[in-house]
Amino acid sequence: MRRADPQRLQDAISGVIKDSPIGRKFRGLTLAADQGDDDDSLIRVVVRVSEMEDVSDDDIDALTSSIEHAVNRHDDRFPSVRYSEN
Amino acid sequence: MSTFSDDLLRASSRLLGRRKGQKGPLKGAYVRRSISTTYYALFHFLIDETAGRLVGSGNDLRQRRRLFIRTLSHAGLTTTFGKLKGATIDASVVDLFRLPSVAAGSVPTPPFLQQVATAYLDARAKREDADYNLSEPLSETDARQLRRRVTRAIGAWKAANTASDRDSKHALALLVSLRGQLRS
Repeated sequence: MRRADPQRLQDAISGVIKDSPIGRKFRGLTLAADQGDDDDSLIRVVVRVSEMEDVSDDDIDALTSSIEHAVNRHDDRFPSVRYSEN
Repeated sequence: MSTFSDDLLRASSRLLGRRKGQKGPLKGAYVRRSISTTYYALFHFLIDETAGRLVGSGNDLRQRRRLFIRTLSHAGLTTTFGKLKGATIDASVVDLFRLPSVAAGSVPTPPFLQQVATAYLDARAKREDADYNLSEPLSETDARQLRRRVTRAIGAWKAANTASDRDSKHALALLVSLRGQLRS
């Protein structure tokens, strides 16, 4: 199973977010491999944004899909993408 | 008549509703319950589909389907869909999905199956955190996005009805019943 260098993943995902419609609201990113009992086939991707109020559903869905594709180019773990306002 | 899965999706939406005049963020318990309920909508949809294909869909077979469903597990579905999340089907199970007329080699994952697989893996991951891991943040955006994703995945499954699609669904049902593992 492929595992990407964490910094490489971080850079790839950040690039996708900055190029997206929510790029100006982007405040940071947290990546965390699964620490659960099942296996290590999951990676949590938490996207921190300043606010979500005027972000459309379509933009969120498209960005989530783009992040998943970006991760899959480098890493076989499934990225579960979440959004956090702060 | 609505199915249990339909009712769960409606419940997950209601949990994200606001009373007239209500503003501000929803309570975390409602967001987490919605995420968990959305996961179970997809889980029940998939195990019902699996049982319908392998046991039969007649009303007289309901008890037999329920007995069969009790043998299926969340972990088995996770293993199964982990092998269908990519552009091509995992080599360890590809023979199950290859049509007899197709030569050896990799097999592209049918788009509707890939959509269901990734929706399931995302829903499972979020549901685990929603139910058991309060230190992992989950937002109303996450709950709504997951609900849309699961709704679309179920729609894509229902719309996939070619002979090849039906064969893929049958292969999936077999793999689910085998907990995602084939003996080599």
